[in-house]
Amino acid sequence: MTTERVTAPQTKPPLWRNETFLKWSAQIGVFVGIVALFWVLGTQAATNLDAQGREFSFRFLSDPAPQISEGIFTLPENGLESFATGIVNMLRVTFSGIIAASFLGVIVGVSRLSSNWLLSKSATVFVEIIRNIPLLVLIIFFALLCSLFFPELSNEASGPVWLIFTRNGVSLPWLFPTDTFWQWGAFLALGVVAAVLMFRRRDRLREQTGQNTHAPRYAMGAFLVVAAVGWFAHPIAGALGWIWQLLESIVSTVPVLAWQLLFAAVAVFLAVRWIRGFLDSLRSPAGLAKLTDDDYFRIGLAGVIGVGAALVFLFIPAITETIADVTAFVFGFFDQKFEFLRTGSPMRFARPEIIKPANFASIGPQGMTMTPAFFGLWVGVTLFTAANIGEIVRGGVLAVPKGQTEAGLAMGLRRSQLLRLIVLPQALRIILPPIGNQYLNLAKNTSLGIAVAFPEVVATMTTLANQSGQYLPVLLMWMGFYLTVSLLLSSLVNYYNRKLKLVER
Amino acid sequence: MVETRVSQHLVPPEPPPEASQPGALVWLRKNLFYSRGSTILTVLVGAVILLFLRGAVGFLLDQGRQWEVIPRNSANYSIGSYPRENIARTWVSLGVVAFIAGLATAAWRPIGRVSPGQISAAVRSAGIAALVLAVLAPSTFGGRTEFLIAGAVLFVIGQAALMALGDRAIDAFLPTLVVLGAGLVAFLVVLWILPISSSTQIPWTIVIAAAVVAFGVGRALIQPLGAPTVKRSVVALALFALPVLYLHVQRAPEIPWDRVVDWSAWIIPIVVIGYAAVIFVSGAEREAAAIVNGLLVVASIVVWFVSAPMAARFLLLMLTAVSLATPTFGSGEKGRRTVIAVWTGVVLVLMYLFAIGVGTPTLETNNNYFAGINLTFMLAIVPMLLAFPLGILMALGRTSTMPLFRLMSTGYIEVIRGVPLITVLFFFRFGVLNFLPPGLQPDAILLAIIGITLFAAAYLAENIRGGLQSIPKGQYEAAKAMGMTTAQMTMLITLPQALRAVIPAIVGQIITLFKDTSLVSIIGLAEFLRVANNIVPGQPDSLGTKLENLVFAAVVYWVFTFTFSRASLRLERRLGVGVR
Repeated sequence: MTTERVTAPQTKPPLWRNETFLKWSAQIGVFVGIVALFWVLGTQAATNLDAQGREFSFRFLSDPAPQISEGIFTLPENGLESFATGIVNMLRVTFSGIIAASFLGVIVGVSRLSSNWLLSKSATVFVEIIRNIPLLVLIIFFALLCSLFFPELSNEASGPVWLIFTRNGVSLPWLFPTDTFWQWGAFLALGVVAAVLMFRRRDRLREQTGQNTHAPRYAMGAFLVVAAVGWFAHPIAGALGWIWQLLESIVSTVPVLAWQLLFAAVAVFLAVRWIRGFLDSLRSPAGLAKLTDDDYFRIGLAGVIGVGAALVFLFIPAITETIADVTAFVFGFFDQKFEFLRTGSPMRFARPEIIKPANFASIGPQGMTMTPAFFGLWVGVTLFTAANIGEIVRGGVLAVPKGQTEAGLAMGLRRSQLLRLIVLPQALRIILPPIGNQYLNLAKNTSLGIAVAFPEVVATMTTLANQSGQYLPVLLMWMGFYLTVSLLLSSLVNYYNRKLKLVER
Repeated sequence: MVETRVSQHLVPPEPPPEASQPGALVWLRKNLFYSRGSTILTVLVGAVILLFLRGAVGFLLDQGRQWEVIPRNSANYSIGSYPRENIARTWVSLGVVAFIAGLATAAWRPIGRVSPGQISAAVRSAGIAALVLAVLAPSTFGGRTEFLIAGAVLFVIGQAALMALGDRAIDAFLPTLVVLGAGLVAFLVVLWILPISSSTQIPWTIVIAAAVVAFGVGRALIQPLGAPTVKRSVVALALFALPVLYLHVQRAPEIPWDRVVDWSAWIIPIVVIGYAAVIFVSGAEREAAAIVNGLLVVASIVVWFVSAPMAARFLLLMLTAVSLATPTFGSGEKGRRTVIAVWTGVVLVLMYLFAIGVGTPTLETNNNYFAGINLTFMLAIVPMLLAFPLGILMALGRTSTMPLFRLMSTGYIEVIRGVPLITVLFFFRFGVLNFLPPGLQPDAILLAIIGITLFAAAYLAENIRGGLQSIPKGQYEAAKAMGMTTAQMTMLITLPQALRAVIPAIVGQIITLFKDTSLVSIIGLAEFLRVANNIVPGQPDSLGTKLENLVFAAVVYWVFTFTFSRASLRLERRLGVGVR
């Protein structure tokens, strides 16, 4: 064996040994492969559609759409109204379900921890039963229970009632918005702003004086005062209608080409700004840091996305046209809702009423009636989510250190005070992120309403897809809708999460 | 366990335990009536529960309920419209599954014990439940006396056992295996006592006998072979049995020899190239191996864009996978033999599966071969297995340092997790046909399996990513210090640990998937829920029995899911993942 050291000449490694080159070629290769796969599928789809004399289009949104069993447009004029009906129905179930499931879930979770044997065992049994049955079975079961086994409306009964369970659904009194509701809504928004300002002011006062300044109560009071004033003063807010009209006319008179240029410019501007911000973040007093492959990739990607978006806006005017149309539609919608000095009470209270148009009694159009489909879906998702939230609450309370409980007891707090003032506020920090996930799941689970013929987004759009054969556009709309909902809900949860987070050194 | 700790820490400290044996009254005072508030709460909750139970029992035992529909349709529930004259095939499948289960029981001896005190208390509770049921039943219910007698007998047996055990009720233990065996015997006794047709009794007895025999065989094999070998063989047997049972035994396909001959023009060269490639790679330098592997990767992609038989495409894909794994697992003389054996096995298994997979079934049926609970299990197991490699790839991609891989994996995972499963199923049921060549009309079940696989892979990837991120940095650094390549580090060091850490999460995922299979009933596949919700109530002699069937379906789902989740708790404790 030779012992002399051989110093290798410092050369660049050959291409097939260059790690950067290998990694990038692998990535680009896979990427190109996937793009090629989609390309092949897309061409095949185009050929198939051509052979059937059809084409990929969203025209079903403007074509006539079939009747819908419940919602804002039961006789939609076109597919877009059908879609809107589905969205509103889905949001109805989601919001009412989130509220009900949160209440029930906290009750269940705390009950499971109760020292009362009967209560904790009942809560355990509830959770174990609900969590281990498929949600779909629950939904179908409750819808069926309502439509087949609730009492039939007796023929003798008539007149207004408070709450009535019949095979047509569950009817209850409700507050309905009227023509002037949106004018009052402007005042409500103003009230929220006033409440936030008031809260900040009182909070600052508390920090200065050290006294309890009851900031939440003052904020609530400010909101209520503005809302109460708005209840009577809302005809003035109708003046906003002129502004909406102006905006609408601006949007619809400016030519599409101008909007296209504007959007393209904005896309390029955003990309450039991002790249400059990124480079600035790498800059130190000693100069610009050496850029890694990753950094070059990010810069390149930002540039490609920016320029690509600009090109898309420039060369496909249909996108810009749609955006302009939708914006004009929204402004027009608001314009209708506001009219200077339009009077009338913004909300109307109504009780369900049993009427007898002919020989048989039925529930009249007043009041709110949950149909069996709505009832089944709502009860199903509520119970299912409540069971999961109960488990999360239980876990969160258990995760609060035992010393906190002991310290609270040592201070002479009662059990209810202990829970309310010591344990739950600390548990909230732990349970909020998983509960946010549960809300997201609830929103997605409303799609099971199709099994009981509840017309939410999936059900209404499936009808349109079957009618037009346009499955891909419908899938894209579903994806867009659900991803938007997910994004909105999760950013809301993240916001609260950040606010609640313990600030550590 | 957890509950006791909780209630202790939320209530004021209890007085020291009394010296005497606590009686029923003391227990009531301590747990139900310890303060004025608790008394009110107990009475209120008790009243609500009684009202609810009364309503539920009255509803379920009402004269109008036709529960006899369920035993009448037991075959529909288990196999749907599977041709009845070939029902022996499904019994054989069940027997094979029982055999493998018996082997598995022998290989992984169930540890843990059951206290006889627990069993006695359970018997006593069952007696109380029967008594309550009898008392609350509506006046029209005929079986009240029987329920009263059975409840009283169970209560007395349980109470007597508890009293006889005395202090030993908590300390004494029975091995789980004994309890399991006793359960099987009890099942057999009930099976032969009840008036069930012998066409059900005899197969079930044989199935259970197969399980018992397999257990004996497994125990006998452990001594000479060693437990790890037996365990590995059981897993391999289970994985192989799954496609054989579903594709061959239950479909009874006619093997299309002419097509097999057509394929051979592609297959034989690939097989030969495969042998040459793996032998070369297992002994080659790193770069030479990389070049061969690179060529194979390119070829396995290109073959999808030329007209080649599906079997050849998949075989080339498998060859690439084997060849890529060779530098990690198959270097050296011993490794070379292993790799050759693996490649031979892959060729044989894949060709067999393709031959039976494309064969036309010979059984006469008006509908699909897979239905009922059979299909439900298929839709839960097969996608989970298929999603595994995909999920691992996505998780590796998402934690990778390579930005394009990360971008693609993250995009896929987030988009899939953002949409509901039903939209994916709809697309794969109706929309995907638009993207396929006109002649190709895949089976609806196959499409559902693909859809569920793609959906489950995203969730699985997130679970595995959690495992990958939980591995201490030192493990990566140690692997690098040993001179391992990234592939070796991933396959030998980090991935095994990550997978072990997330087993409980993956079991939870399987349970969720099992419940989610009910969604395919919406797109018209005759799985368990569709049988209960549409098919059985649609029969002329079973009209108006939707609710009975739904309640039955709920109970069946509940039993399976509850058992799985309890088993996963045991597994979690046994792995001790959280504890270590």
